[in-house]
Amino acid sequence: MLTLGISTSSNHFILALGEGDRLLFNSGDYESDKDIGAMMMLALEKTQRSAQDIRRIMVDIGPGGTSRVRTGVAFANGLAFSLDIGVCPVSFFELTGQLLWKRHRLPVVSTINSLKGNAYIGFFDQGVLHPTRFGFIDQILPDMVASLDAFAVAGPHSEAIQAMFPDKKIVGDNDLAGIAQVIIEHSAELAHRELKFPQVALPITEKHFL
Amino acid sequence: MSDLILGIETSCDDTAVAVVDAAGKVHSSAISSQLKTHAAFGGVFPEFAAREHITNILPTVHEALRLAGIQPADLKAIGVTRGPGLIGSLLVGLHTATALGIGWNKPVIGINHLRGHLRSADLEERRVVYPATILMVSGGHSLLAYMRNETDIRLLGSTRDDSVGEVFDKVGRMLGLGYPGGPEVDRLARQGQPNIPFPRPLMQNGYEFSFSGLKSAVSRYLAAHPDAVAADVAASFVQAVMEVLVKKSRLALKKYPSKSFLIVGGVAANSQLRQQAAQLCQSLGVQLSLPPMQWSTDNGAMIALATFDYLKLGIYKPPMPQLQLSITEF
Repeated sequence: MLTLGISTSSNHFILALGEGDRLLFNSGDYESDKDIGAMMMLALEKTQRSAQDIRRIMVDIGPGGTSRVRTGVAFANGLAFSLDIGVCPVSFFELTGQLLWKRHRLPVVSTINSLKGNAYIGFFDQGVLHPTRFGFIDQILPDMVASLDAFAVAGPHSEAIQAMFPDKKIVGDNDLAGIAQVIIEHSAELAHRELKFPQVALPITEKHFL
Repeated sequence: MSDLILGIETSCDDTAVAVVDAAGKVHSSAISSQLKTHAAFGGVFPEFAAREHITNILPTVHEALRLAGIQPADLKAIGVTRGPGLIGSLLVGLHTATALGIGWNKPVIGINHLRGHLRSADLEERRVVYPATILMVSGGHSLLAYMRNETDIRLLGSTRDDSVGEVFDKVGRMLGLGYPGGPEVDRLARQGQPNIPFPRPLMQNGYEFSFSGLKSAVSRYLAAHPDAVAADVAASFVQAVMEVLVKKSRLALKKYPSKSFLIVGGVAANSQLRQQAAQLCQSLGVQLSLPPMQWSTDNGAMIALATFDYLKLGIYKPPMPQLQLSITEF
């Protein structure tokens, strides 16, 4: 089964094509100035597949609600609709959580900036993403990591978080190059989330938390 | 090869999709409005507009195909607005269209929204006789242009600041008329006397427009006259706008002899503009071409019809956002 994975939450979008848990194409291996449509065509060309071969679409839905996230979600929804298949929404925090857990074997805190000093905060441990929080880092994080001696952290607040907890072992890691592999590897276990038109994937926004 | 184009328009707050053929026959037109969402803000809130587009776009595409009674295989191409417009809104339409094109194996062309408005008057029937002078007056654009034919356009002048539609909405808000204020200002103006001497901006400056000073003048007047009769304020404001629009249109029609005078954009619904344009055209022996109201505001059909022009001329523009586009560009 050919699976397409799209992640646009980070600074560089990721487009992955895979079969089973085998990664066939990773956009990170190519020039990053291509738009998502051009990268999709390149992926099909390189893997010698057609769009009609795609049977599953995984898409990163943020959080963030920014244009970047919407770009990936709109593309994924449109392609799923045109191919008459479903689309599986995945939180960006699940992807970073899986990636950093695999790399460091530590609980993972991921953050994304929002407006007015707020942030989205994800906590991933033992293969499970805990409910995402929204607010000020310094108000939310102390309780979230109180019981931890060590954890990994990804996102724009990495350094600030390391400074907040000098007594804990904190591994800052913003190398997200492995997300393409993660999204393909976990596609089968997340397939139950598939949304079929008229249901569509929607970005996670602050509206979900206010 | 089929001769149907799917037009997708998401430059602002309406999600609009239509199926149109080369003769301009509209096989379907579906529009998902966001008026209720933006009413509380008194104008379009860009972030919320983009969020609604992503929810509404596929149901609107589905509805347009259903109403037309066609399958994606029946389409020749997809035309999608690439600008000008709000970036978040444009991106949703452009990336959805790109994906549909890949899945359905159809070409996707990025269309200049302004070119769509120009072609709106020829939807369903040929109304425009060339050469033509066009007045585009909407919430986002105000300009005068001369068209030798459907695709050869010369920009005569545009607004230096606010568009006419924007100023109508803002004056409507000042008068407590809700959003969108334009139609309500028009309605109220018909009940009042135009007895307040608001300025006629740039009356002597060729084809250029400027409406922000007029908007400020209304605001200052209301602040200084809290008991002013709202209908008189509306009537005076509308008269000032109409004088500017009609005078500059007359100037253009005289300098650039035209067989027809075309008014497009949401403000084309204004009853006084229609009435005064009719008088102007009668006095000059020019045909007045007004698209039906449903094609004056943003819609997918005008984008689809404009797409045929691009195909005819062999012009391909990728579906990438371009926030600034002149009416002379493809």
